[in-house]
Amino acid sequence: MNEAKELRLSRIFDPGDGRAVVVAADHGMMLGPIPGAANLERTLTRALEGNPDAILMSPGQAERLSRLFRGESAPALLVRCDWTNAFRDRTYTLPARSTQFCRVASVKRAAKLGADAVTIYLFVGYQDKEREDLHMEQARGFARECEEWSVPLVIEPIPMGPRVTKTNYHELVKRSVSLSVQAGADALKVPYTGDPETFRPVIEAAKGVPVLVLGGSKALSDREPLEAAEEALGVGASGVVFGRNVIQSQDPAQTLRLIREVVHGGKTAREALTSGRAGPIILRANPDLCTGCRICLSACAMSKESKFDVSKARLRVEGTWPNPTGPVVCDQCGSCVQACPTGALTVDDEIGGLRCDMELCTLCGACVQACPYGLLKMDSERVYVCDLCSGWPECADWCPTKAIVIAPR
Amino acid sequence: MREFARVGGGRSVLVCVDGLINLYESVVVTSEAVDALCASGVDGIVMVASTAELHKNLFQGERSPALLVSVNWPSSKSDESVMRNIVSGEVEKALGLGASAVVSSFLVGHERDEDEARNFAFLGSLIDECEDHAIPSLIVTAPMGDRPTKETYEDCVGLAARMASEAGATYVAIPYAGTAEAANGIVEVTGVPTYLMDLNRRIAKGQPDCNLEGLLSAAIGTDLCGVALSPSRSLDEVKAALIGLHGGHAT
Repeated sequence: MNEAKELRLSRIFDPGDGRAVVVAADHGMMLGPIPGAANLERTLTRALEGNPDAILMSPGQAERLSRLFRGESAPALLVRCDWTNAFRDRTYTLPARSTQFCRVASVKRAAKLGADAVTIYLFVGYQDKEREDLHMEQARGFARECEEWSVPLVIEPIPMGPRVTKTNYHELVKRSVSLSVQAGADALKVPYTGDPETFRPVIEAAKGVPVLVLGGSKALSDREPLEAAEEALGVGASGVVFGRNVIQSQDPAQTLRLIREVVHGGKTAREALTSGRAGPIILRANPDLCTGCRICLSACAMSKESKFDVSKARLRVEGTWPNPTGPVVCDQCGSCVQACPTGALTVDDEIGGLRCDMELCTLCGACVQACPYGLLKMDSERVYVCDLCSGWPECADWCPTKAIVIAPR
Repeated sequence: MREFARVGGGRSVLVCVDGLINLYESVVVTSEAVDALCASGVDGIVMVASTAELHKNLFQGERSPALLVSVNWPSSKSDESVMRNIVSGEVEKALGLGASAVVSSFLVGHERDEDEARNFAFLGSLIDECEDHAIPSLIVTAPMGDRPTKETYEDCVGLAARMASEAGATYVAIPYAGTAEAANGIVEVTGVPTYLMDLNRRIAKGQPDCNLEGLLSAAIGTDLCGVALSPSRSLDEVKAALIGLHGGHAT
């Protein structure tokens, strides 16, 4: 790689740790004004407070929002130079009937816009081999232009089309990464295969070319993409590209801060999500934000009982969609502790959750009677209490609308 | 190059005599008609390079309208290098004629997805070329065909306009999507100065009639920067639009 390319790449990948946090904001070109991308200036202005290393944009937006890339602490600019309809599924206004791709801007134009890198797709899995060859040819053309203008090329290889199955997906990711390296990629933007075992060979196939792992479609909570990032980084990825999980976040800056803690801070997803919490916590419910989806119940039951038996959940949701009246959560009021005649029920001083010592519990049911919210449950073997998931409450973590949040006690 | 777009909050009236907007209307552009249009005080006229060549004297002088040269995308299959050659030649021709902008179209709703891809690739090449020569581009965007429905029409207008602006269009023109609110919403997500277009109803199938009063009301009540009228409008209608838009009332 020539020095100018290296210099530009160093604006994206932190020279200190060789890692990068990139925000993808190029959806409008493929999908139109989707949520979060409708007023991109507003979204990105908020996101910049989270200090991303780079932002990926279309040429038009890069020109209009060039002010975001000025100044010493401004992010690097990646310009998307191609287009595809591949992501227009049935939920979009004009769903794709066949996968198409095309060039939208030259590398010269991207360079004039001040791009630190150019990004393009490379799809593998077409029914028609000729289409795959054409896409490869387009990628090689971009690589030649990038060489001429000394602009790094970031290729996004994606298995796409009827030949892609769940079984061959990770193999195709690996193959598309190999093809991208052959085409001349200076960095890669790769979908996560789902587990570290299948992602490690993908990193190996990149042959030292830095791999940025994709955040994927909008997740229900911050935790899912953060855990994927943690796993990918663990097997050698050089960073992440988060799109909808940032631009559609209620707080894009906070989401980016969490990602940075994992990517640059070396924290686990759990550490990032619980960092900054000092002392006992409490759950707070905001009924106005509840949609009645009941994911919180499933998350609680799965976490505590390892099965989706919502009757064992330590909270409940009142009312049904479309008129839910909101979640009811344990606020550790202490009524059950006071009512317990044997001292089996206590409050954890460090976290604030309830503990039930089954050796002391006589299953008298006084606690169940005392709970003002009717949340405590008991069967012939034990009492089900909210222990706040040892400081990482799953209900709050999974709630997509933040109708349940964690607060200091 | 003459300024034709909004300057200091003003609005402009463009007349398209190129057949780009009203693809199915056979309007014969006579010298007299162009003469009269220029004399009407219209802000800009969109025409193809060959027509502009014939009338170039009309665009000279301080009070003459701005010339916008339209370039049609070749809908027949052509490879990338042919497309780039066409674009390059047309943009240079427009510059030679002293054009204030290059105009082209981008349509969504093609029966075959490959046609949308080729149309978008053409748009990309054109904007590349315009950027190279520092000449603004005005992209006429619209849904077409049977795929956009009455229910999805507004979304399709938004999609086409947004795609054009993401590709780098300097100005975008959109068809009337039924209400001033709809137009305003599309302007907001498009993010570039946007014209309201007097669209042929055969393209805007099942959509509200673009009567002049409706168009002007929508343009005045929103953030639109003007209207682009079809060549089927009479001179009186063009004059009414000029008075309406520059005076800030419908007609």
